[in-house]
Amino acid sequence: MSLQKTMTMAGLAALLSVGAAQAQDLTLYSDKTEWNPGITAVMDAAGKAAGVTVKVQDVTPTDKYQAFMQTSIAGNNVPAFFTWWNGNQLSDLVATGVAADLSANWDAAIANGDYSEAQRELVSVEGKPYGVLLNVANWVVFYNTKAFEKAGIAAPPTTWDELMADADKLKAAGYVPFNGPTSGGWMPFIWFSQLVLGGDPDAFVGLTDGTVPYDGPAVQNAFKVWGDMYAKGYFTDPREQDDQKFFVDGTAAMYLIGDWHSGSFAEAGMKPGVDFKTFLMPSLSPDVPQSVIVEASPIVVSKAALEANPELGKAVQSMMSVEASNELGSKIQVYNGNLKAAAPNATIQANKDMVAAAKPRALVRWWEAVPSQIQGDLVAAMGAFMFDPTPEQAAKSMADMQAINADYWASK
Amino acid sequence: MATVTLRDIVKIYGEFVAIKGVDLDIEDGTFVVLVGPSGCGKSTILRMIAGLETISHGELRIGDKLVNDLPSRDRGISMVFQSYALYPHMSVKDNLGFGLRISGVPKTEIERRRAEAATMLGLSPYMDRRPSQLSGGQRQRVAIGRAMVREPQVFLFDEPLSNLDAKLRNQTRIEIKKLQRQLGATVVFVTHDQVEAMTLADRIVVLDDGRVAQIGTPLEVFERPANLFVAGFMGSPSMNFIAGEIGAGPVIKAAGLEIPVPPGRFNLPAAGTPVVLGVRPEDIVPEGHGTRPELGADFIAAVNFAEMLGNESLLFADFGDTEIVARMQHPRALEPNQNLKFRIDGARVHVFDKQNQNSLLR
Amino acid sequence: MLVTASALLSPEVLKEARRRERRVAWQQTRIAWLFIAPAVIMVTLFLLTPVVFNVILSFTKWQKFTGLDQFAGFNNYARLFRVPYFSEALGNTAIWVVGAVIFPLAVGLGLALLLRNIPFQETFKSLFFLPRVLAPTAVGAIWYYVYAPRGVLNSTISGISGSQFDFGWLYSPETITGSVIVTFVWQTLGITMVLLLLGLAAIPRDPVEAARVDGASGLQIFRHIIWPLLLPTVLVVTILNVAAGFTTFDLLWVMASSFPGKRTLSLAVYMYYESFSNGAWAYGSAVAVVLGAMVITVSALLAVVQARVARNIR
Ligand SMILES: Nc1ncnc2c1ncn2[C@@H]1O[C@H](COP(=O)(O)OP(=O)(O)OP(=O)(O)O)[C@@H](O)[C@H]1O
Ligand SMILES: [Mg+2]
Repeated sequence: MSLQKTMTMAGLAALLSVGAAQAQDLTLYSDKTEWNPGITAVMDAAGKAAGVTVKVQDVTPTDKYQAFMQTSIAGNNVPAFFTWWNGNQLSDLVATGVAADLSANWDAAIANGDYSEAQRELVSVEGKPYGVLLNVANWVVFYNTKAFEKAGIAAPPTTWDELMADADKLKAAGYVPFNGPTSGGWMPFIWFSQLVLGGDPDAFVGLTDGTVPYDGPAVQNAFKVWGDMYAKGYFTDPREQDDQKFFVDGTAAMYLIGDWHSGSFAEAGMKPGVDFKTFLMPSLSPDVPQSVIVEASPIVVSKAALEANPELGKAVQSMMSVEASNELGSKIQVYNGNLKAAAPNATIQANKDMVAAAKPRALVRWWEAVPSQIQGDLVAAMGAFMFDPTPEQAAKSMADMQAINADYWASK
Repeated sequence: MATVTLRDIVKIYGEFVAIKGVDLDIEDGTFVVLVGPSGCGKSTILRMIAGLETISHGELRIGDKLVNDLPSRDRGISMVFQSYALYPHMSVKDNLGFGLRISGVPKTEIERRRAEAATMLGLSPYMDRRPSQLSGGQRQRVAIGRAMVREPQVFLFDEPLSNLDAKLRNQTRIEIKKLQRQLGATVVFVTHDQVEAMTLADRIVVLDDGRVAQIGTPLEVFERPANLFVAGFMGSPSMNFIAGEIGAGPVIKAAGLEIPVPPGRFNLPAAGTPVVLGVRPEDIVPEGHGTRPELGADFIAAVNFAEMLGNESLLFADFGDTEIVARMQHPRALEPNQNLKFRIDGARVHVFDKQNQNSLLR
Repeated sequence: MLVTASALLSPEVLKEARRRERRVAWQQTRIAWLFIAPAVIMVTLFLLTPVVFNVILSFTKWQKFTGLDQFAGFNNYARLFRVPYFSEALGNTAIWVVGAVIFPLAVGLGLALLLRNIPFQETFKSLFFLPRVLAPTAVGAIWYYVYAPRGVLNSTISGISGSQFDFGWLYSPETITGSVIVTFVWQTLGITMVLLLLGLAAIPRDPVEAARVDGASGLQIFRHIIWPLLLPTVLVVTILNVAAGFTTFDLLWVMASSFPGKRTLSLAVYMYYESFSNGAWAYGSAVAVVLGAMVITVSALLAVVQARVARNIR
């Protein structure tokens, strides 16, 4: 460990652009710029509860934020609060020992009826919770109601065949059926993972734990469907860097994304439940059971900060309160799962109801489930296909992904 | 054929006029030497003939052809540069062969001419060296060799022998002359060296500040200099110039002496007209040394200083207001300030117009 | 005393003479060493130390948050050939090195020869040099918009052809490398041209004139006289551009920011990506070591050739 420390100091000191924060002035780092108003409101209240001030500082895009946090952690310069991901991403982080165990706060919140045991599991590593929930989202298909109307689609599709038929109608009505963004260094995985899990949910899970290869039948099928959809002109121009542009400007009729995004659409002038509604993405065939991706984003608390100032426990408790949840709901229309809080908008409420009714299999998002070391390389291979959606590129992307994947699991 | 004709040639560099209207007819196969003080325009004329400088005004012909705008390589000339201008990255061998090689001369022929030049110029031991590994004299010989092997109709030499030692210089001079005869080439040769000029030239062109001061055979230029400048420039040491005036009869009065001159040799103006008298050092004969000139005038002067040259001695003495130089054959030792009796050879003196400085020779 | 010539040049005398020459040479360079010393110390401290650190790193398992004290042997180097990206990056780097040498040199030499004898040379020189003083990231940003789907280039093509053209120059694996190389050439042209102009100016006029008189045509003069004499300068430019080609980074990083295959566009980008985006510090170090070794080897070879050529024309 001392070798690690010395080398880290020598090697990384120069890289750190952020100096040591002042003791009283704590900072929350995040890559979620659009959510700043909500996070700020939550952290203002939390800071007040603990007698400190917490500034919110964002670093974007996501890949840069991850790199930034890695250097900060390696350089022993961990911010007091920072947004993170659950799943493998959280396990990797917890292994470094910088994250505070928040069991006490969770116990209190559950006793208080704010959260459930199941929700605690979303941010737990080996049985211990290491984060406060910032967002709990269902992944659904948003659709432009006007477009559906114009294309003569009476009700949202419930099967894959209906979805494809609707896509054709939308195309005929002058719309691009699906928004297919590539930005932020992560978005290419959306359709890839959806098409794998739509064909074979078990294979989807297997991809993330090394038991299913990236060039096997499940993935081959996903690429085939994906490529066909591209060939039919179902997707928007992958070069656009503003991920929601084509959806909010009415170019694209549908957008598969987490329902935390509804706030951004509202911000851009689309009224939830009126201008856009949602439906659950159907599986590729009726004999594949319906599943839904559930995304949970935690805010992690630095162990060192909490030890230095035990009062911060009060801040954490405040972040788990129904008031905090309502701030997020009203300011940025994001739902953090607090059981006492109302859904921030009609869409999120509708999604909750849909999920409650359909009882789909809930799956952890690919991003959080996949080992973080190979995440970036894999996403790049998916992105390469989106820019060149040909069978040749599909073959190359699969070969590349499998080479990376096999190499990773072999070294485990 | 390879005549070279310059008609009213002018060269200007910005505001500066380097060549001020030069006319020159160089006949085929003649050896012409350009002489003149440093900066008078010798290299400039050569470079214009070579096509390395544009001609500001006038006409230049080689043979019958107007070549003002013809590129160098089409002029059929070769040139030895004052600064050698060797190819620094090539061996001596390649320097010599370059011109032949690019004009497609067969290998064996290149080899033959190169070997010949190398032997003649003593370059054989250095064939594989680069110019930076040669002495100044060796470089100069390479430059000469490079010009020779091309066997052109017109050779231009810009002081090609200046860096050679006396022995090599004589030898090379003879070789150049031989080569020229053999090839029947036309040569324009620039030099500072009087001996070179005299021995090599069929015709000498004396330049003064961008103008031709006189053109003639070596003998003409030496014996009948057209003006003060040529008279002063040709001959070493220089001719003595003494202010004088025309006396009664064919007599020049100078420093109280009356020097008789052969009647009919000069167009003498009226008595009393101021003139410049020119006397070569060898025409002031110390008594007892050499033949006593028949026509002449004697004077006695103290020798201020004597310069011993071996077979002769130069004596510096006061003559009126001017210090003159006299040449003493078979010299003997003199006391400091010893008085000697001299005789000026009246048959060989020159007389110049004081105003326009032209010779009054008839 | 009588000294004969042979006694003067006896082996002992020669040996002593050589020793003296060497001593004088040392005395003359001693001062130089004194002045070089601070630079040597700085280089050791700030260049060599990180290099050594980097080499050590490449043999560890350091990635993301763990593994700095775990020894990985040559595993990181083996991985270079197990995953596909290294060889892709290597291939693109090869294209870069060739492109970065040939194009600036060819265009720069052409311009230098054209500009050499014209009036307003200084103005043109400054004009071509201007891009050089811009930060590469700024240049990248400018050219990003030149190549953008609705950018200057496509608009121009659309205008000429009369039909909408929105090709993504920076989004296609076939065109991105070439497009960024064009930007690189645009940026490097000035310095290359100025260096070549200096080189041309340093060529003495005499041998060129001698060649003219010797009967050489313009092309022959260039081929046999100017080119060999310019070669040392050409090689210096080559060394600079080879190094630039090998280590090309900033332009790619900026211009390819939204190209999914960005990481494989050059070894430098790949190294940076693996280390700083992917957190694969040790593996990134291995890439750095290989890249460094290549740059040093090629540059050193060129430097030796350059020195030899320069000596040959003195
Ligand atoms: N490129 C030039 N630009 C301006 N003036 C020049 C140039 N070349 C020569 N001159 C001038 O022209 C005059 C003639 O020069 P040139 O070289 O012909 O003299 P030269 O008779 O060969 O002298 P030297 O015996 O010293 O070689 C000199 O006054 C010189 O300063
Ligand atoms: Mg000269």
